[in-house]
Amino acid sequence: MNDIFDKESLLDRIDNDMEFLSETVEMLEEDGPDLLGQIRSAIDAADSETLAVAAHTYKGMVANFCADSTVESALKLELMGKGGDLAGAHEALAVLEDRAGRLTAALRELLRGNG
Amino acid sequence: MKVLIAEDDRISRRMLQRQLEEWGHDVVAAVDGRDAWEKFQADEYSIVVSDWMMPEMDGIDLVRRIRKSETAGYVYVILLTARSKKEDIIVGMEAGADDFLSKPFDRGELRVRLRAGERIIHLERSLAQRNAQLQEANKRMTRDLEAAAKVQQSLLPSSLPEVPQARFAWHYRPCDELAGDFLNVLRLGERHVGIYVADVSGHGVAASLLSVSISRVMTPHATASSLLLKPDASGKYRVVAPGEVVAELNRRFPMEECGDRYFTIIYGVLDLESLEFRYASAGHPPVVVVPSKRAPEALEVASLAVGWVPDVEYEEHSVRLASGDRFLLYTDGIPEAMNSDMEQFGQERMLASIDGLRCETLDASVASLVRTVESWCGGTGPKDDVSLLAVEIV
Repeated sequence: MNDIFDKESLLDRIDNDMEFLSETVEMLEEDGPDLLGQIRSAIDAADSETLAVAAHTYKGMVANFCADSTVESALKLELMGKGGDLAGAHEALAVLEDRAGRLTAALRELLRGNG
Repeated sequence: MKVLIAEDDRISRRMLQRQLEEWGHDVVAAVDGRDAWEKFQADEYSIVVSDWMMPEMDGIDLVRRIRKSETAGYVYVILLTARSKKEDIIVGMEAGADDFLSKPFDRGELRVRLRAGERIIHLERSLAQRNAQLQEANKRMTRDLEAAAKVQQSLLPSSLPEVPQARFAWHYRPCDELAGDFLNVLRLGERHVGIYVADVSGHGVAASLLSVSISRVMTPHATASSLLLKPDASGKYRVVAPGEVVAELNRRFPMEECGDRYFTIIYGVLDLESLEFRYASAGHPPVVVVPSKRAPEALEVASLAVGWVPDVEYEEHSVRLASGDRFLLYTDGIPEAMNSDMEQFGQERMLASIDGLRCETLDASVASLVRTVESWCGGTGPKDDVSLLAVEIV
């Protein structure tokens, strides 16, 4: 049991197809860091609009893994971007990156049969 | 169903595609709105499932373009969105979205929303198919009606008898493709001219079919089927008296054998030597006589329409005419023509119009009377067939 994603819901969503899960986790590993990089750059450049779009996309991506806490962190950044107030954005990104790392690790564990 | 999905996040796109394919749909995936629009233009899709927020072209813009485009059938569009505010729903629906699905999609919800879309697509397809069938049937019927109208035109005078004693003019205006009215002027030997105006109840195909049957027996050709000419004991053909003709029509066309249709008719024979017009009426509007030096007069006679009652005798009437006199036979489309206030043109107004037209040539007076009736009816014209036949003694 982990607190980073809802394993039962995720497996139900993909019909327990571990091969398919592996394919999507690979995509997450490939695309996730890019999006997180875009989020960081947007925060550094105080580019609220790009931050909102990148955080929105990231949120949609991790939502597929029933990872509510990671979704919540991405939403926080998306809202900051939409509101144009980036105060605390670096801290929020740190939380998101931490959760993202834990999510990927937990998904890998699941794929190894230890989830 | 052929489904186009537009989703910039490839994990969401892959999951959606996998799910739709698992349910048997033929899925094409686009990486953003612009890619989706290009793919949409290159093929035919029944359902589009699109993310709302996408780079290049968002889901709203994509839906608007889809709705503006010419598509073979209806395209059902579902927008994927985390947005659930009323304002967002309004924006989406105004752009042309049919339904919304929250992200990440729930399989059960996706399934029922797709089913709703499929129902709409099937209904629209079946409606389009029925429309096409109806259009085809309509085309066929229009062709048939045009052909029938041509047949009906052949019942009208192809040429008018040229005799030194009289002139003839006529007008015929069906209110639909096919009329219940018909008329003719027929030369019956050297001395006589047969004249009739008839009006079958109703109009359309049934009325016109009956008019064809009636006109067949109203032939001037000396054949066994003609009611107008009969062989006498010496084998010569004689002109049958109008009363006998109408009575025979009444025997041959009883209402119950004519689809509950009946008809009114005035049939008369003009004797070119005596200038006597002998006629019989079956429930038809009265003959209007226009003596050259007196006011027009409607010669009222009481009689029953053909087909109502079996074995009726039809009384014959006679008018003696002189040079310059005119008379008119017509259908009720003239006196009963209604204006926009539902007021009939009426016999009095008709007689006054005829009186006012007596200085015009016969042809011109017929055309003028019809114009007067049309202008009485206003924009849409008469709601009944209008037929008029006029004779002038030279």
